[in-house]
Amino acid sequence: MSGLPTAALSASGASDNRALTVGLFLVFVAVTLGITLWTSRRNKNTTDFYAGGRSFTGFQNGLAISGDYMSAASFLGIAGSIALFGYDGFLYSVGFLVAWLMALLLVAEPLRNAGRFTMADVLAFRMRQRPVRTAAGVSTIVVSIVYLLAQMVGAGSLVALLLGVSGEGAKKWIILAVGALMILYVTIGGMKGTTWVQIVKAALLMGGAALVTVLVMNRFGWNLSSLLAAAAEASGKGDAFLEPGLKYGATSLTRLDFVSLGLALVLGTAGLPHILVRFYTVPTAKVARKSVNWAIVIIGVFYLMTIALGFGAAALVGPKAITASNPAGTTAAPMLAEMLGGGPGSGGGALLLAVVSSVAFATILAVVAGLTLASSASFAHDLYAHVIRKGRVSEKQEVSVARWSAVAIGAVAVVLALFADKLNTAALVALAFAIAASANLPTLLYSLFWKRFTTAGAVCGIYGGLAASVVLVVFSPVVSGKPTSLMPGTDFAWFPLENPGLVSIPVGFLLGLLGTLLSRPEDDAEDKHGELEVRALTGIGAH
Amino acid sequence: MHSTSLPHQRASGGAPGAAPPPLPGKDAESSVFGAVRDSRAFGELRRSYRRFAFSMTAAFLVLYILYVLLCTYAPHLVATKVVGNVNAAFLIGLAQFASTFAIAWLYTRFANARLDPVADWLRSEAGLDGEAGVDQEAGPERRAALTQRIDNRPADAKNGV
Repeated sequence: MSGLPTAALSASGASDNRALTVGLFLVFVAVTLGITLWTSRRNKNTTDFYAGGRSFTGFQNGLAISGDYMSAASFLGIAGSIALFGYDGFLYSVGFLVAWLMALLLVAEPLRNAGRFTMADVLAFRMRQRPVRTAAGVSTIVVSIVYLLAQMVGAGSLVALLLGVSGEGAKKWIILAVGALMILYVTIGGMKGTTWVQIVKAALLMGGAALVTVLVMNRFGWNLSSLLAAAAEASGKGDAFLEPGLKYGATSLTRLDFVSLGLALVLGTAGLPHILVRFYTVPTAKVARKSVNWAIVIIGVFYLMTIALGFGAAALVGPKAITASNPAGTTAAPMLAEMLGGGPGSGGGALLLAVVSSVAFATILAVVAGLTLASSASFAHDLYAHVIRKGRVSEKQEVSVARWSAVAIGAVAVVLALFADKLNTAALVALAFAIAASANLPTLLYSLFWKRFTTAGAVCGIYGGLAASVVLVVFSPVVSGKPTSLMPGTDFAWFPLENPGLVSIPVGFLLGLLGTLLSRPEDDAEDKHGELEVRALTGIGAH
Repeated sequence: MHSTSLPHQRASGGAPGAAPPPLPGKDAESSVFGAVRDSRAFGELRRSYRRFAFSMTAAFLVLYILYVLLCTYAPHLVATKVVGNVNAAFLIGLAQFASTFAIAWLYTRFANARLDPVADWLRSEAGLDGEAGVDQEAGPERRAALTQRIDNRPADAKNGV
């Protein structure tokens, strides 16, 4: 999303649109802040702050999971990708959904049963606490900050674009405001407040997407075939628009890059820290299972609607007008809404544009709040309470450290976003998934299912997967060697793929394996792993 | 897969009726986990969960990787139109949605019917919540007795496994 033009969507009536959009967005902020304040009255102990008192129902948490997962990148990004590249944009949708089976089958229930607040609770369960908690905390914070950065940079550009404000100054103020709001939600509301923000946001997002979908399908007589025909014609690419290959089919390298991305998407989801902590907000593993099922339904329906959004935008707005507004297609969905409401300048158009734009803001705000909470929880619970203070810390102190680290992590993300606003949002999101799949998932699966796994294996797996994915990206075309790179003038790229997953995920699994086999078996592996398995499968002793 | 070491003949000395441990609460708890782990019911729970979850995971990963490879390396194969302008690529994409919903539904049905009753029952037998299990002193004896009680469970509780 680098290099966005800061022109208004439509010249006429832009200021009316802006007032309406800002008004709707302020309503969202006011309502969610009110809920946050209301729910925070009883935010006293760690269970309240980290896990929302474990009081949410399966449906509520399913909505909240969807809210945490469906970032602006998936709402606006996928709709834009489909509008510009046709079928290849839809490939994202499939990967983002299928990934949830990993969480459902192998991760959600064991995690809920055996852990308390963070991913490291399960990773460190039968290992030496300090090294494993440190490694898991570091990778949690790195993944969260990379993902946070993607959202903040995207937010700055997107909000500037949708509000039609121009200039670098405005973009920076928006990043600051988003940062301040997310810190407020997290420090005041903790998990309970943040969960309600996700629920409201998910409902708005589903409502907004459903409205646009119904309008699009109505236009085409509820006939998918005629929608596709119109999109293919308007794209100027004919049937090729409806077939895979427009974006990733160019060379054998781009094909390999897509395989790499697909792997990172499908294996990364179950290792994303802000998703994992959501499983702790429900009373039992059975409810965790229910909430993942709800999330699969909600996310599945949403990604099905992206077909109507993306191809609808291609057919009704046209790729030319979309790329003129934003080369990456980010504004395809808002422009489609404006068109469906009656076109630029019409009252209906302005209203629908304002609705979809404020849903997009709500989406960004909720996702960044979720990420800030997950990373500050890991800092306070894993690094401060267990590594620095070795468990000798009161709940009150731990919650207060969590609040302060939310402020600190929020501030770091704001500062990075201010100075790195040329970074490519899509590449950052892909990197966050790749790190989660390379560093977190292997260790999580080994811990749960492999008795021989050792502390050395866990530490090697986490740092190895983390280092492999970061180093490969640094020496990839994302950073140097191409006109679209972060540093276009230089060339030190030797790794040809933009997504490191194809190499870094196997590296993460391999290093976890080697670290284990080269280290002495843990003395009490039999008992400790037995206890972990009993906890994970039965819920005996669950918090 | 589960190493069938005979219960309670492991490290901890094993002299029945040894001196009470210094931390009764903690030991009682770990002896409960050991006892449950050693039981046949838990072994069966563990096996049936792993068999189902691992094979479903393999199935969805293979289906997804096939889909990705078909779309990236055989785009012409999936470009065939099937209904109107809807081509095979769309249909296999929608099939990914369908298989995701189907696998989630199958697993949930399996877990509700076959896993939950056993897990619930083991939890109530372990009684860490203060009911049945560990109210007296811990130790190998206690653990053996609990394992035995779990394995002598009434027939109706076996339905789950």
